[in-house]
Amino acid sequence: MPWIKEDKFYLIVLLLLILIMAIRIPLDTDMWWHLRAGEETLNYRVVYKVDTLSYTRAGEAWINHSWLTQVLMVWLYKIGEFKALSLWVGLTATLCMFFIYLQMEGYAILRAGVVLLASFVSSVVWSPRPQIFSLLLFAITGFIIFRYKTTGKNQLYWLGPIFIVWSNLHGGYILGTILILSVICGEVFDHFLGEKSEFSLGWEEIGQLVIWGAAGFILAAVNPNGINMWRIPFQTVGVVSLQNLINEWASPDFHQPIQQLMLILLFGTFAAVGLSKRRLAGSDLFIMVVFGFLALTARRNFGPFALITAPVLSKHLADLFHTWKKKLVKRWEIFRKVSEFQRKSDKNINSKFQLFLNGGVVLFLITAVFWKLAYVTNTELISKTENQMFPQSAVNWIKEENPPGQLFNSYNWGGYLTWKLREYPVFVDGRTDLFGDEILRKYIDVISGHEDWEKVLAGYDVGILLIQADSTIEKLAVKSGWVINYKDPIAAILTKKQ
Amino acid sequence: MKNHKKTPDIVAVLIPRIGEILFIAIFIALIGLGPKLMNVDGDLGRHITLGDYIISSRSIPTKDIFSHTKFGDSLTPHEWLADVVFAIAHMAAGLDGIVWITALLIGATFWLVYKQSLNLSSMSLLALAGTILAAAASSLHWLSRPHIFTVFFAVIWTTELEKLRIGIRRNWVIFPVIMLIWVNTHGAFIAGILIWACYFVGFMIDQKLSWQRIKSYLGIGFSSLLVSLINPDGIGIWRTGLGFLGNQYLVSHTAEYLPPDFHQISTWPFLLLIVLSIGVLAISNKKMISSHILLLSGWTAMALCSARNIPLYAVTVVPILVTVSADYIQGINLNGASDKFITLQSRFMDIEKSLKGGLWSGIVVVMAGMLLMRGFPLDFQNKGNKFLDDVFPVQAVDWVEKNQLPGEGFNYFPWGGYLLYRIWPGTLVFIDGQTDFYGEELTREYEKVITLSPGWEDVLQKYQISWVLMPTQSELIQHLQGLDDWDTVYQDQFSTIMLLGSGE
Repeated sequence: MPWIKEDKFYLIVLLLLILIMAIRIPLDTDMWWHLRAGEETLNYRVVYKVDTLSYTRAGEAWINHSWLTQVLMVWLYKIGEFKALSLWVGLTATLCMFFIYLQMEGYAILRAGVVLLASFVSSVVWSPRPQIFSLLLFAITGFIIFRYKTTGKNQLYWLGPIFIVWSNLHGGYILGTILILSVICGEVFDHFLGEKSEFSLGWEEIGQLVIWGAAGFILAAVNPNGINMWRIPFQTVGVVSLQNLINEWASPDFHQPIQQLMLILLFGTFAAVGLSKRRLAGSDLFIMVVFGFLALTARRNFGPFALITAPVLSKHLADLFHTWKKKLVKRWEIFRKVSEFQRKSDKNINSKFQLFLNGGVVLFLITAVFWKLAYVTNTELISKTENQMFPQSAVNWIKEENPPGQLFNSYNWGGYLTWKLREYPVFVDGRTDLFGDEILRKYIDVISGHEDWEKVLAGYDVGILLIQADSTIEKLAVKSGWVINYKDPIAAILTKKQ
Repeated sequence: MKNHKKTPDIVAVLIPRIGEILFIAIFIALIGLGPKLMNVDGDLGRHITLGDYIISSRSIPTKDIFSHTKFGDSLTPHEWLADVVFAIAHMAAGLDGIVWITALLIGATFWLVYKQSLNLSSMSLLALAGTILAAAASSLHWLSRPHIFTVFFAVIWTTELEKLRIGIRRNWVIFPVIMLIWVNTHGAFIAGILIWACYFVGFMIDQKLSWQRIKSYLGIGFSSLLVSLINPDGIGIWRTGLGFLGNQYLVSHTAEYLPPDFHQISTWPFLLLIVLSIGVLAISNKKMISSHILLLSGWTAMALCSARNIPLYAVTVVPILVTVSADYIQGINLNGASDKFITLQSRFMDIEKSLKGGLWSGIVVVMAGMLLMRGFPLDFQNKGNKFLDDVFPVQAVDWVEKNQLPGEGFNYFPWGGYLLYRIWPGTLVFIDGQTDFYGEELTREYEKVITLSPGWEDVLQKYQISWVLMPTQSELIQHLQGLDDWDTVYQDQFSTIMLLGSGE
């Protein structure tokens, strides 16, 4: 079937498919506070670094590691609203997977298949948030190292600018440093064992990688937060309450079908490495172990894990398929005939017909991209989804009634409220590094009905509860004399009895 | 091979082998952790009670006799033989007997893992390190429950299949015999079929196909499948097992079926094993055997899906990892370091071969049994093996024993087994840990009540509930205490019993 044989055609189809997959309803719990922070930065022409959105941390300094993405997000939102945000996520994710595709080996169909699997696995973090840039820059860093190893082209100097941009776009630049460190450890490990693969680095080349990796890390301090940026990864991971509050920081739940794909990727890589004759390079070993560990401890790391595992899987699958194909053709007559038929049909195909067919497929997919973009950013659908995810009607009620007192809000709605209900500062939102364990623990105490819950609310002079309907705290609050003023299937608003 | 002087018989008997030391260490550790073995899981009470019933009535119940919600419904007693073993141990030495038999079984399991690793690798130090890691990874599921029988049988089963693969075993009659005991001991006998499938597929991929060998593998598969039907519920045991696993709601509501949480330190040895697996695959210069790759990747995936599979993963995978590592060490030269290790290792092996072993493990097992039977507390906290009153409603049930509860009750799910142990047959439970029997409908009704979801009162009415035994801090108790119809008849910091009153 020659009309699907061309490598470039495969790549175009693959990228269009990924784009269709990545264009999605651009709503995320954290997106809103990023938009708000970006707006503050744009309005005041100063990077937003002191909290004004909450009353629990009001006036305190905050390391805003994503300021540049926030500005970009709010700019996109202003020019194209949800359509622009959705397209931004789609294009960034597609570009990211393109850099992964470039690191693949084997038949085009195999490469495309593995990239698709990796896309599904990493898609759990494709959302309108600065994190999407971390994925892209992670893929680019991986590509630069891949080129350095396989072609000997030293373009490591690009790591400097990449890390500067990265540390202004998102705090995930540390993933790049971890990647470089893992590759260095793997190369040293191979030297120690005396095992060299065809793309092993010499000591001098390893030295270059060390220098440019260190330079990248140092240059990450070139941003409005200065060297505080080095603290941010540890500060975020150090918040113990993260795992209790945020799903993406929890260990994977492999009972969920979408997360099982990560298991398939891991399982497939195990099997391919084991069955193929090719030795797993030290650098591949280290990056798989390190990013496998990160993915198993926090599902938000599925993305980086998929991006680094896909090229490893493709290498070993390519080797395996090549061996199997040879064996099958040698052993079984039918496989020899199929192989022969393929070769002949490749020659006989009419090139015009091929062009027509390929063009048709590409046109169809481009149409699908536009259709998907129009569909997922349809005002009605956005509003419906917003109503399902966020307390849209409850917010309207508060705007109309203006109840007195501070507002205690559900964690997942904090960002939404900073954008939609600006009159009331929030108790907490997705900026876990700002709130830290101190505030997050207090939040957990309240929502779980801990014996101190009333004391916590009284301490902040809370007069309004905006919480999930039928939650534990709603029942306890009613028992303690709070009054339900508004309730829908999503949210409940309670005020303190005067 | 060097010729060493023959060790005198008395010395050969007195000095324990490495495997024996490992067995004794695990056995003593488990005896010391006795209260933990019994108190983490709520089902032990049910197992003892069912075992007692089978022994006293000389019949295996295939209809429910424990709950008022499903009384008389068809039941698959897939753990009846394990329950009988627990009941016999309980009759002999009470809860101490349960701890003793658990420690013995788990100790024996890891002794077998060590032996299997040693046989395949011929490196006792590596085998020891691997088995310690396997034990550490499995320890999160060291509990007094029939699952430990499955882990034990899985090791024997894999060992025998490995013998068949290598060609040491030609006769396959032992497999249906093992399966016959396994299927009557625990529902996870299906793991045996999966392991067999890995070996069969691996054989088809790797080896020159001979009809003789294919017949052996097929013989094992078919005979084991047939034998698995010899149990009190026949084919129903497959229906129950697969039905439960296929029910997303039940599986996601059963704690032990949840995936491991790698934020817990107890799961880190498992994580380390995964890391080692990747490392071993990377360093191995030899092509691995397909059966081993299938076992390794398959069990890794299954253990990542459910924490309860981690022990099965550890005992099947560790001998493979040890073997591949041993091959690698023999093939490298790290400035003479590997040679030194191999020399040291061969000395150990020579010493091992000259030892007889068995004496100390026998003494420790018998002594522990005798001391426990005489009432000496051997647990590390010196409190004795008992159900703890901060895990189970011990005082509340003491009260129930003195004051009969009227009608049917609603109980906290994890306490069901304990209630059966203490107050059955006088009182039937609403639900207990046998989730595969109670099914989705009743579990959802139970959940509706404890979360006070719309319609919760209807569930209590449907089952004519007249008393409730729940944790004092539970939403249900907090709510019922605000209602006029319900009276608190017993309450401590941990549990509360409420009675449906007259409403006056």
